Amino acid sequence: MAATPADASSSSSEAVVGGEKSNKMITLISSDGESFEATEEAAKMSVTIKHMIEDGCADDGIPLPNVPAKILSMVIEYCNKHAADADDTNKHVADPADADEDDDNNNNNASAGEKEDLKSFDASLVAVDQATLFDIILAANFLSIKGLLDLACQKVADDIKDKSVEEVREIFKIENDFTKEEEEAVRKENAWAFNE
Amino acid sequence: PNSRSPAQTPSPAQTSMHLVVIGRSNKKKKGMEGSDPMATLTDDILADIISRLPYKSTCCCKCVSKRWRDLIYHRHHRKKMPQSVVGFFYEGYNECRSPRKARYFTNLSREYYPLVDPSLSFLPNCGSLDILDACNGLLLCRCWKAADPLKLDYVVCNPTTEKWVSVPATEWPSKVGVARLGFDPAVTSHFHVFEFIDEEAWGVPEDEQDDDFYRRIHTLAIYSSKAGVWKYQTVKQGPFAIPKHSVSSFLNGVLNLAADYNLIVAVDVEGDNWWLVPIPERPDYVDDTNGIFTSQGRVYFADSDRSKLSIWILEDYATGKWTLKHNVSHL
Repeated sequence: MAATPADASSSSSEAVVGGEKSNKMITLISSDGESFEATEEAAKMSVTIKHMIEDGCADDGIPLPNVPAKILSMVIEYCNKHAADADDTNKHVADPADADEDDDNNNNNASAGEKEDLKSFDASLVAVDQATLFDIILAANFLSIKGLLDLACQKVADDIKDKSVEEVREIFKIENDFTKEEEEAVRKENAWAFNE
Repeated sequence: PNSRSPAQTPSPAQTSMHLVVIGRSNKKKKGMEGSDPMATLTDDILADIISRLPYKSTCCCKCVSKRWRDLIYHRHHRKKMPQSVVGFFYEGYNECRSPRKARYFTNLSREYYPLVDPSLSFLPNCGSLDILDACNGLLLCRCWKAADPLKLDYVVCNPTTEKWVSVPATEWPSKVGVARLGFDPAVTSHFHVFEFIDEEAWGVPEDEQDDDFYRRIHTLAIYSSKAGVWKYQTVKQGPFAIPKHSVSSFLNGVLNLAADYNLIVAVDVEGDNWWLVPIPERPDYVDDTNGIFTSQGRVYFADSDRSKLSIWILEDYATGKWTLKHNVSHL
């Protein structure tokens, strides 16, 4: 695991609370045969993987025939970052007895800063070429990682928003398969949307 | 951040081979002319993406390709999408029934969806309500408060999204017969409410009221949802009077109403520009201007006598010139 501040603090919380989170590592195998390791906690951000772990299918590594290595490494990065964030939230809630006013203020500042970090991490994760973005969407869909799916779908929506019909077709290389009559009909029905 | 099992660390040669493999198997047409990268996305995912767009963008999306159009209209996905609804509200009265008055909605939308509840029960604290006007998807209602039957409010609401906003009450809602709504979503998301306050409602002493025009319009009040205030102006034009259930139409920022004595009254949302346009000449004297309507950006007047239906189009507010567009025989 990377030695980011979030990760470091989550390790210490495990020591203090004596948490139930295991340090167990899960092996994930991409479609092209590359192996990646992730903590069980991060891996369980994928509901698909969570079920496989719970069903005891994870011991020899989990093959993911739909997810190429390039994408899998990005997905695991996302899960690591967001699993740590979820853990921090839990930590702040879990130790009210230990917190005095100063601590509270510090914790709030830290989590505000971390939220900003997370936001900019998310933004740069999806600032990729179209093909990679769609691959991330497909992987997040297959692995049932809601947060990542939302993030990537929202990025595509943002790219479509406020574009004209022709621009959308160009950006996504979509063929206009309407007949002349069909296109006229659907444009007429939605004519008001083209004003301006 | 990810550890890789040493046995499978790819050598540079192997890595590039893997990338080529990806290129071939997953994206068959990648990099080729006229390819459709979205073809790999399932319908559910594409519907999810489109549902995040504002309504105007969704309408543009319908025109992109057959797949997109069918997706947006499809029964399975459209619950996520903002949709347009077409239909009309009407009231029925039946003495032998309780309640005597009942409100209905006839849904003419594609496959009767989205659904609209004619009772508008999502409006809070409404003891009883009248729908005064509808304009491009919004309704102007007059609500009597459940708690205080004498207190009256205007409410503007969207019956499909169930969003509503109350318009600050003036003295007039209970006395004023004619209140209308101006709303054009293609221009702005703000609306205007017009109140035509006649002499009697305004409190002009009876002996000073106009003899020829019963309930002559004295003051026009316009509420702007952007400004959040009512603006009042004494009406210098006319004289004219507007019947309570006068037909009206809002187009291009102008409210057009049928007025007494064969007149059409038009005023813009600022109250700056007024037009009083006599309806086209008719052979028989009939005091009924209610054939006014708007269509395709123009104002029309439909007139009917015993033998035929005539459709006139208004060429110009300023000159008041009408052109006869259609004559349809009843026979």
